[in-house]
Amino acid sequence: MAENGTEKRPIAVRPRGRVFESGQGRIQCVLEMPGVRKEDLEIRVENNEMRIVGRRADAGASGRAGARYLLRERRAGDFAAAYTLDETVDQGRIDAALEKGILTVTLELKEAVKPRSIKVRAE
Amino acid sequence: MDLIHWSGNLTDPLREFETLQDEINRLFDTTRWPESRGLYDRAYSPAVDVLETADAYEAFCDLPGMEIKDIDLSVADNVLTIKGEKRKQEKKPEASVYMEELTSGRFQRTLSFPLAVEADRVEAVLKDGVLRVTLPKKEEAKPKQISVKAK
Repeated sequence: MAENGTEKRPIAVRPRGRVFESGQGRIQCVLEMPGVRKEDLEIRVENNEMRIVGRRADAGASGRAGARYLLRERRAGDFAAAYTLDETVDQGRIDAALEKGILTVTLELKEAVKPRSIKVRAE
Repeated sequence: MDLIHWSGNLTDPLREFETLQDEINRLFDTTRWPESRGLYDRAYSPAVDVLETADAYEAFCDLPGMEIKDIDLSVADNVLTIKGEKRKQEKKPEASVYMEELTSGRFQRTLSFPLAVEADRVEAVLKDGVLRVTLPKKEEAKPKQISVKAK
């Protein structure tokens, strides 16, 4: 592939996903990362940026004698996404779960910015 | 004789612009997505890889978030059909959505292989959102090497 003999990894793909605010002052990022195992996933928060990298092992014609592709539609690259976190997100309370190729990252908003309803007392 | 492009109305040079406008209007009238999805009810098409080895075919299909009960596999001769439905994730009405790229709905992929496969020995595994189907080639369908003897 590359001229100098070292095989380059394909360019990373941004996973498709859905970001939404769920009722209780919480932001959820749901990202589709098929083929990524828990141990291949890396999430780091640095300088108000959350970086998510999911390494995907190739389905595998490479390294298998006599195997060849008849059809190749799946992207071979790793998944990578980066989100800027603003000051309303509590960076100490970020939770992530990977299940069936779907990564769910839950970001808690800081208590001070969470919406709260104030009860009105009758006098 | 001069050859002059027929414009329908030689006295009105702006006539050409009218037809152009008609065509542009027609372009905006057509719906962007076809209303019929063809023979099958398909909302989307998952990506598939097919690998061939000496003894088998292997199909890989990206199905993130799906469960075995949502997937229907069938094999006939040398044709594999992967059918299923990706359910929409439950969404609370009060939630505000920042970004939405996920699709849901029914899908169907039909793959035909060059050689017949052993339908009884087909194996399917769903792991980390990837479906892997192994289809062993039929023994009698495999190409055989014939050695030519010199006399």
